[in-house]
Amino acid sequence: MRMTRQEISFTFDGRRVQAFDGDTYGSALARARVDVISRSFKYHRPRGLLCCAGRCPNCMVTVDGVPNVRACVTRAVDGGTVSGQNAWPSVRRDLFGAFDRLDRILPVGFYYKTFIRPRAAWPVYEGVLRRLAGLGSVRRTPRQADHATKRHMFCDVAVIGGGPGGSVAALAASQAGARVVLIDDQEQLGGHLAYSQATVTGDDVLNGLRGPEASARLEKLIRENPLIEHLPSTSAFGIYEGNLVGASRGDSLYRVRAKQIVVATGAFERPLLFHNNDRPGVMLASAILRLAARHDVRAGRRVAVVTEDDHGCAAALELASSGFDVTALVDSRPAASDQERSAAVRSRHIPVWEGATRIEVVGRSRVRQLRFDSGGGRRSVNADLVAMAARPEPVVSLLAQAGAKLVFDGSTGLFVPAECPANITAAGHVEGISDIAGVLKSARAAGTRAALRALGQPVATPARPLPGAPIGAAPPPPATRKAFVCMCEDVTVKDIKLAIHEGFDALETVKRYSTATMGPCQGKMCHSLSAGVHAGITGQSVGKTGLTTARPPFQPVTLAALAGPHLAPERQTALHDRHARLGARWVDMGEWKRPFIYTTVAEEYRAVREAAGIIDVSTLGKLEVTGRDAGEFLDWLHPNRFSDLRIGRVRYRAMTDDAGIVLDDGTVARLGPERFFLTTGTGAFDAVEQWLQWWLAGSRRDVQTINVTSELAAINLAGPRSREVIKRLTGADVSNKAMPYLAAVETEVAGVPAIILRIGFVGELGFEIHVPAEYGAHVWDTLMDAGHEFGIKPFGVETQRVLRLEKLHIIPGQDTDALSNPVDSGLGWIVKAEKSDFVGRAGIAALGSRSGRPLLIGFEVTGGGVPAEGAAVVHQGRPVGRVTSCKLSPGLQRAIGLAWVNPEHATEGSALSIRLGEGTSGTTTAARVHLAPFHDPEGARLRGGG
Amino acid sequence: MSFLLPCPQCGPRDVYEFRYGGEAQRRPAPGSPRSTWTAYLYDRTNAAGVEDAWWYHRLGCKRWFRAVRDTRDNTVLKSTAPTVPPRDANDPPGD
Amino acid sequence: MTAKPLADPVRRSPLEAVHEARGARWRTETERWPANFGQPDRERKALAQAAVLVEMGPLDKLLVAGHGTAAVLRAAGLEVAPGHVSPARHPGMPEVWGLAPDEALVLAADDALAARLIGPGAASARYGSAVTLLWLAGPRAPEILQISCPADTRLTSLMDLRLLHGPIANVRVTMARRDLRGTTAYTLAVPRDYAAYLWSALLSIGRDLGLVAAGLDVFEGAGA
Repeated sequence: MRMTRQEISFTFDGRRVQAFDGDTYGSALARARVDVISRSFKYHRPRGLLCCAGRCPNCMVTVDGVPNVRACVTRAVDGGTVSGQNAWPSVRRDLFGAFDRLDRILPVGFYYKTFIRPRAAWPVYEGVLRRLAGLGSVRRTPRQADHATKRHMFCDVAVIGGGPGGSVAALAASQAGARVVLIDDQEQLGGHLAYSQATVTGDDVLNGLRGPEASARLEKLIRENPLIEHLPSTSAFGIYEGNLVGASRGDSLYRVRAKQIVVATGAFERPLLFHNNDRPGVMLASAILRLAARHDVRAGRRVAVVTEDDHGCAAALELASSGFDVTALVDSRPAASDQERSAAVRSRHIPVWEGATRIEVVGRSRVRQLRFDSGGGRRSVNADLVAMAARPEPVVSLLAQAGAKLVFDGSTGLFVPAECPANITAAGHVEGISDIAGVLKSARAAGTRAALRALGQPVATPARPLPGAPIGAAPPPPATRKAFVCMCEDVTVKDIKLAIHEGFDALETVKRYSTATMGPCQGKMCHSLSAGVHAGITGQSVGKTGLTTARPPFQPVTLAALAGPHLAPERQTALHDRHARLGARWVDMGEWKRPFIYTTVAEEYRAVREAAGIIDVSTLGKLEVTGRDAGEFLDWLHPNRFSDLRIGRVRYRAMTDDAGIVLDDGTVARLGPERFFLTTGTGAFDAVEQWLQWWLAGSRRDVQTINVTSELAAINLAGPRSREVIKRLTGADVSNKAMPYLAAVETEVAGVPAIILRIGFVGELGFEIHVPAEYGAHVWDTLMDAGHEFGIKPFGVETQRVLRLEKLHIIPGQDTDALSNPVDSGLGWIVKAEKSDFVGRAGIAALGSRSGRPLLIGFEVTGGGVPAEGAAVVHQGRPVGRVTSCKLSPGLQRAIGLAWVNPEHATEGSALSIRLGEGTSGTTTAARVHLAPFHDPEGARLRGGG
Repeated sequence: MSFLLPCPQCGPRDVYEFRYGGEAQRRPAPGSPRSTWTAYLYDRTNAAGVEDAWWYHRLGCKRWFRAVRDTRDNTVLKSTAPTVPPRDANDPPGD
Repeated sequence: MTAKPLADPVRRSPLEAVHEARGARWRTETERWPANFGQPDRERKALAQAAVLVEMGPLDKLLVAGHGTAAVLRAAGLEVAPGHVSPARHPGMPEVWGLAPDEALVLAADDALAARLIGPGAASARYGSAVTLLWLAGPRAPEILQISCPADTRLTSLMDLRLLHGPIANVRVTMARRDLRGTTAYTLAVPRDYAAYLWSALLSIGRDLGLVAAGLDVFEGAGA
C-alpha cells in the first residue's frame, strides 16, 4: 500500500483511530499504540501484531460485519467499523481472560475427558463452549459479493511468488520466449527486498542496488514486459491436477492453466518458543521491519532480539539501521557461529547474550521486559518489543500439495524440496538458499528451464547436492506452561507433551488430538515448531518426524470466489412472452421455464374437456432421424417396430436400456421413406440424443440425427372443438377421414410450414402443431384468435397433469424410476417379443423368472383428501406401495393417481390405504385400484369422429 | 479432479466439459446366458491402472470417443474418435 | 360466419421482449430485430473502445449432417474444413461453418440450395430458428470471453476464421472468430432457448469492462 498524507479514520471497538490513506488497519492501530487487537481462541489471552503478513491469527478482526479479516494486510477504509472478536465486552477488557488461569483444567483434548456426564447435558455444555471459544461470528444476512468474477487464464509458465526469486524467474522465462503469468500476494514485487536495507550483489541486473531500489527495478521490468501478465495482491491457494493453479483476490478467482509451474514462494520466519511468547509486542523481526518500511510505523522504541541461529545477527543489524534501539541480542546457542556478524553487532554497542535459557517475557497487555539466564545469572532487559529472529524457513506448502518430496537438511535445520513432480520447479529461497546472489542465480536458471520445457524442448534438471546429514535428536523444548506452539488454537508445549504422554505419539495423531496447525494459519506459524517439539519430546530427529500432509487452500478463499458470478442457465420457449402477458405462474422443469397455470385448474380443465385448450409443448425434445438404416435403427432401440410405420403416421414409443429399464417415452412420426421425426419428453432429450449417438459411434449404420428441439416451437391444441379451430388456420383437409388419429402431416398452418401430429396426451381430439420457432408466437396468436369464439383457453402444466391422469398416461421419470421395466409399468403391449434382437430384449426376457414384482396401477381415492406424490400405500400398518402421481380431478371430484403396489394388491377394485400428510405419522385415506382410464376409456374422443 | 481430457476433435479440455460413458465392453451376443448379461450390465473392472472408457464431449463438439487413461493419476494415454469401418452387406445390425 | 383474415406471419427474435424493454428501434416491422437502441453513436463508440453485443438478424440457416456432408457441400460448390469458417466466396453464396467432420452449418441457404444439399449419407434440416447468432466485438471482447469461458480463447489459440465449441456462462456455444476490418470479433451460435439467458449473462459479465448492447446498424461503423 502506497502511503499518502491524506488523513482518514475508522473506529475500533467504538474508539476513533486516526490513520493515513495507504495504512492497513493493523499499521494504523500500531501507530495509535493500540496493543491488544484480539483475544486467543481458548484462553482469551491478549494478542497483538505478530507477522504483519497475513499469516497468523493474531490480528483477526471484524470489519464492517465481515469476520476474520486480517488487519495487518487489509487496507484501512475511511469510516470503517472495526471490532475485536471472541471477547466480551471488548478485546481490551475481556472478562473471559480469566480462562488463562484455568489452563490446568483446560489441557489439550479436555473436551474428550470432561463435560461428559450427565450425557443429557451435553447440548448445554456445547452451547456454552461454542459461545466462549471461536473467532468471528457470521452475519445471518449474506453480504453482496463484491465483483465476484472468475478469470480463466492460460500460459506457458506460471510463476507463484513475486519476491526476488519469482520476479527474476518470470523475466528469465519471458526472455526464453514463454508467455508468463506471475502471481504475487503482495501489492509490490520484490518481496523482502522492499524493506531490506542490504545491498544486492552477484547479479547482473540488480547488482549494487539496495533492497527497495532493486524491488522497484524488478517492478518496472515486469510492467514493461509484454509477455508477462502480473497479478498483484493475488494469493495462489493451491496447485491442482492438470497443472491448474487456483488463486484468489477478494471475491475474484483466477484459474491458471500452465504448461510449467515455477514455485517461488520464498522463506518466512517462524516464532520461537519461550515463556509468554504470545504477548503483544512479541513480533517476528521481519514484521517490525515491514511495518517500519511500508507504513513508517515504529511498533515500539526498544527492541530485544531473540534468536537461535545466525539470522539473529542480521536482524539485529537491520533493526539498528532502521532506527530502533536494540537493547539486546539474546542467543540460545552457547556461541554464535558467524563471528564476523557477531562482531558487527557488538560494534554497534548492542549487548550480546549467549547460551540463554529460561527465556521469558514479562508484561501482560504489552511487553515490558525480557528475562533470561545467561553467563551464570538471571538477566533482565527493558524492551517494549521482542523481535523473534529465527532463520526463515522455505514455504513448501504448495510444493508439498503438488506432490513434491521434502527432505530435512540437517546443516540448516530446514525442510527443503528434494524432488518435484513433472512440470513443477522450485526456485529461489524456497529451495533453501539463503544468500540473495544464490537465489537470483538459481531462479533465473529455473525460469529458463521451465520456459524451454513449456515450449517443447526437453531440458534436464541439474542434480542437487544432497543435503547435510541429519543432526541428532532435536533438543527438548522449554519446560514452561505458557510457551505457545500454535497461536491459532492456543496449543502450548505442555499440551503436546501431554498428548504424546497419552499415547498420541505420531505427528499426525498429535496434530489431530491437540489441533495444532489446524487453525486459521494452517501451520504457517507452527508447522515446523510442532514437528520440532514432537521430535524433541520423543527423542527423534526432526527429519524422522517429518511434516503433516499439506492440503489446499494455502490461504483462505471466500466461497463467493469459488462460486463465481451466479450463472444459472435458463431456457425459454418461443412463447415465453405470451405466457408472461397472460399472467402465467411459472414452474421450473430442469432449465426450462414453463407455465404452471394461467387461471385455475378447474377453468382450464373445463375448457379442454368441453371446448378447446392450447398448451405450449415446445420443450419437447425433437430429433430428425434420417438415412437408409433409420427405420432399422429405431427398431433396434425400441421394444416395438418403426420400420413398418407408414409414411404419414405417428406411433407411440418407449425406449429401454439393455437391463430392460424404461428410459423415456415419446412419439415417432414417419415423414418420408428415410425420414423419421422423433419426440422425447421435456428434459429427456439430452440423454436420448447421447444414447442414439453412442449406438451410432463406430457403427456401419447409415443414419443421421439432427437436433431440432430449438428449431421448432410446438403447440398442442386439444378439445372436442379443436378441429373447428384448426380448420380456420389451414387449407389442409383436417377431417377425421383425411387426418385420422395417429396421422402425421407436413402442411401449412397460419401461413407457415408445420408438422401436425394427431395424438392426445390429455385424452381429447388433439393436434400437436410444430412450426419454426421464429413463427411460434404468430401461430399462438392466430390460434387464440381463431379459437376465441369457441371458448379456447390456454392451459398449463398442472392442468395437463390432471388431464393425463384421467387417462392413466404415464410419465417416465415421474411414474417410473431406475428400476422400472415396461411390462410392470403397464406398457407390456409395446414389447414385440417376436422381434429379433433389440436393446432391452434380454432384460425384459429375464423378467419372467422374477415373481412378486410391484406393478404400476391407477387408483381413485374414495375416502377424501389428496395424497402427496411419494405417499406410502399401506396394508395393516406396513408399506406395500408408493404413490407416484396424484391430483384432484375436477371432473370426478375426487383425487386420482398412479402408484406402484405389490402384486397381491394390484387387482381391479382392490382396497388400498394411502397415507395423507407428511412423515410416518398421520392419517390414511381409503382408495381403490382402478386399472382402466377414468375418462373416455374406449378412446372415442381421442379418435375424434366427425 | 481437474485434469485435462484431450478430445479428438477439440483438443485438451477441462474434464468437467465431458460426461463419462463407462468402460468399453463388448455387448453379449443375443441368447447369451443371464450371468453374461449381468456381468455386462453391472460388473466393472474398475482397475487401479489403465482403463479404456467412453467419453462424451457434452459442452463441446457433442461427440463420443474413447480414452485410455491411467486412473491412478489421470494421465490420458490416448483418445480416439470412433471410426466407421466400410459397410459389408453380411454384417448383422447393431455392430 | 366469415373467418377473420390471418395476419401475415411475423418472424420474431427470442429476445424481442428484452429488446423492446431496452428501447429497440426495429429494422422492419415483420422482422423484429433491433437496428439500434436509440443511441447509435454510443454503440459505435463502444465498438471502437470497449465491446458491443449484437443479435444478428434472421438468416435462413441450414444444418447438414452425416458422413456424406463434405461430399454434398462440394457438389454444391461449397467447401469447408472441420473447425473452420468458410466465408462466402461471392455475394449470394452462403458462409459455411465446419462444425465437425460430419456436420456443417450453412448460413443463408435458400430453398434452391437446400434442395441441392441432399445426397447419400447426408441429411439437412432447416435451422433458421434453432440457432441465435450473437456478435461480440471490440478490443475488450477477449477479456469478456476469458471470464465467461473456461476453454482457451486466447487470440493466439482461437484464430480468425476458426471455430470453438465450448461453454460460455455454463451454456454450450459454438463460437467463430470473425474479425471485421481489424476489430476483434466473435460470432456466438447459441440454441434459441438459451438466447435470453446468455444475452443478459454476457451483458452482466461485461458491464464493468464497458460492454454495451447494440443493434445491427453498428456493423456499418466497424473498423471505420
